[in-house]
Amino acid sequence: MPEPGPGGEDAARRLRAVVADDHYLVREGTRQLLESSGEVAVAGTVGTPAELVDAVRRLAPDVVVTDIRMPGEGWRPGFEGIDAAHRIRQEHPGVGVVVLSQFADSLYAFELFRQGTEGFAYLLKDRVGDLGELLGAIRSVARGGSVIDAKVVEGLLARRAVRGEQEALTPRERDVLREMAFGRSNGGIARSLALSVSAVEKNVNSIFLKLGLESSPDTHRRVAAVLAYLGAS
Amino acid sequence: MSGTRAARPLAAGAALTAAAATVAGAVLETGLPLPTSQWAFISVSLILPAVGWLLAVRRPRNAYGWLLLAVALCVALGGLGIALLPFLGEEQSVAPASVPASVLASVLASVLTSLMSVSYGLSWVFVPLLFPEGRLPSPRWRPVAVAAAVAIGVEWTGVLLHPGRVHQDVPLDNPLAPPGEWPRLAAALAGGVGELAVFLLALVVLGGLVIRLRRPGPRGPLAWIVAGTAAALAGYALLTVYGFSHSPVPAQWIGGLTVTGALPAAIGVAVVRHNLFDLRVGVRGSLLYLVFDARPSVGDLLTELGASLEEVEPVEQLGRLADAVRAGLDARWAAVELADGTRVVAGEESGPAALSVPAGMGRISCGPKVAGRVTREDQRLLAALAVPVGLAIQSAALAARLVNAQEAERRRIERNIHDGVQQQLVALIAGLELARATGGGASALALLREQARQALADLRELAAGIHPSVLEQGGLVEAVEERCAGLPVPTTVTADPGLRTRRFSDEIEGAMYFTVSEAIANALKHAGASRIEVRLSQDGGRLRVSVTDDGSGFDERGVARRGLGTLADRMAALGGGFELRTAPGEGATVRAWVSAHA
Repeated sequence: MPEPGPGGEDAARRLRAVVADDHYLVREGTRQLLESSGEVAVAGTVGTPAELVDAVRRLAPDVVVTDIRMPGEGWRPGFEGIDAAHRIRQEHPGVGVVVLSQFADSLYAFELFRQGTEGFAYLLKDRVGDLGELLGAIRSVARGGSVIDAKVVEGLLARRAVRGEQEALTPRERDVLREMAFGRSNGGIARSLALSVSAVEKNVNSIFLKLGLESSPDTHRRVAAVLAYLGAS
Repeated sequence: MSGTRAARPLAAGAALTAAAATVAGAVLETGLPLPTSQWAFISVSLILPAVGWLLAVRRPRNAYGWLLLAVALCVALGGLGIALLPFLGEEQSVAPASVPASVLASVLASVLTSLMSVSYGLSWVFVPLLFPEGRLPSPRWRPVAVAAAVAIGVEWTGVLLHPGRVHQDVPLDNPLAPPGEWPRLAAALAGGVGELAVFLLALVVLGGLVIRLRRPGPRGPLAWIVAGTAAALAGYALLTVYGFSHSPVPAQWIGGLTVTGALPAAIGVAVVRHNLFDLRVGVRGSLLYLVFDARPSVGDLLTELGASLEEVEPVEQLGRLADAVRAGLDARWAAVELADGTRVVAGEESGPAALSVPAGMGRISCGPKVAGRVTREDQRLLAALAVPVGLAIQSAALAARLVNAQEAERRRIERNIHDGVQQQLVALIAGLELARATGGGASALALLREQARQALADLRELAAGIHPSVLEQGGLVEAVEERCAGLPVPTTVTADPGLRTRRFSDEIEGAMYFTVSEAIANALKHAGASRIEVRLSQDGGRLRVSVTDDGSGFDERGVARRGLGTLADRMAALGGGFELRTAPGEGATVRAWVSAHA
């Protein structure tokens, strides 16, 4: 059963979240971590995909942070978190979903982004050790943005190399591409890579040119474009 | 051997003599035309020379056939002697024994008649005792055999020399009876005591047979002999009660028939029914015929074997094979032996092997035959069986190696977890404790977080090595690409376009994935490769992978192919193939294929 999180005076301006993980320690650890930031109020924690879907109906959170794998009767084994995410976005288009995964394999990321990237984030589980990144992703999906873990993007780039597809990007452009996939704006990328905004803009334009993508200032669309490019095989 | 060459005419001569004497005796006794009862006696009496001749010719070195021929001769000549007596008796009553020719005839008839007593001794004691090998069942029986021989000799002497009539029904005095009271008494005593001793020894032998019958092992043939001997002894007892006569009552009829025919018939049935000397009665249509060398043919054996090996675990197969070898060669025991010393035995192994041939990477051996000696035909049969046995040994060895490989793999995983993640977690706990005790600052905690991340990354890699989830979810090409992405060495994966979406059975995908994975690990760890190429293709119903590196290569013969050997076994178990091509300085190519139909 969902456990109602602590409410508070300033809870109103915090993002309300539901945390789902079949492992109690991970669930509680994630809850405490998010609560400790002061930016997120955990409205409930659950351990199965069915409970998650139910909790979202009842608690109407802003975001969901869910494990990719949670045993549940009647759910696709290994894809429970992803399937629950799709169902939640379908029923409640305003709710952002961060899927935490053990797998850096792009297969799972593509499964999550199968019908669109909006409001979805795919993060590796060890991001719980990086509160800033985790909060960034939560804020992003709450706004309808999307995030792909940099490791997954790296994996996708490596896959392209393995398939023998020519790598057109310079190392700097690859860095920028990873940041773009993380859903960052040009300003965000500049801060993250310690570059000037104009240098980032140059690189972004060059990437779009090289990859034959349509340039867009909309960070969410940029993620989709990058994914579409990397996923094409 | 000259003895063997002489065997045929000798056996034929003895058998024909016995048959002729039997017929002559019968004709003399009742005159022509022969009554039905005489025909019956003739047919029953002919069984013994026939079986004896057959065995003596088929197995000249086995004394048993010759023993039967000797018994047949004694019976037939004894019968002839008895049949001659009345004529001589009439003659004697007309002209008392004065004509030398007539004396000679009397002596001859008397000697012939006395042979009948010898035949009883031989057939009650030695015929059951020596069955079927012509040897004593064990040295412990030697005293019984010697005592029986002495008793038969004493009885014969007594019968030859006994006083009074040669035969109770015929008025003919024994011409050989010695003069004087005491010798006559001694002769009469010898005859009686010898007869009694022979009868008692026959009972001892029968008892021994019954005991042997209760022991484990093939008992069918022995049971027949026991029944035959018992019937013969009972018939003799019946005749002793009612006496012999020329106009028999039914009891005498039965007694006479059983004494004459029970044991030969039992031997005949035992030999034929239990295929003792490779003799069997065959039935074709309405024809009954004798089959010589009635062992199963190699074809029969292989057909039977094939059926019994289906759907049986490899090790169990070895047991079935040992059974088949034992049954096919009619050996006391048979053993199938693997190169590693594993031994599967059918029957109770004792003594050295009579025959042993290599089979694949192992051996088949078998003990002495239940009956008879090992022949060239047996050797041929064993050599033919060596082929399927070799294959079964190979597959059993393969199964054993796969199990071992699995065990080794478990140990490797355990070691990796122990040496890797476990130690990292211990270090993490220690670090956390230190941070707690010293009030460690942000930098100490960040370091611990990195340690934990490293542990997680290592664990993730380990899990992927055990069974990559992407293989299950995304298929072979996806998993291979994932495996090759992020290698420290430029690696390319080329796959037939259709393969990307094709799925194969778990074991095929697993075996192919691990072949690639192991080949890559080899190239990176040992060969120092600077480029690796992986190819996946499907053609003609075969799924193929190849991994080529430009590393140092190695001498195939010099390298213990541990890891690669396991791969080869794994492919072999799937009915596929594995090939390694390498030479020092020339890199290496690993190829593997399995049958994978759409």
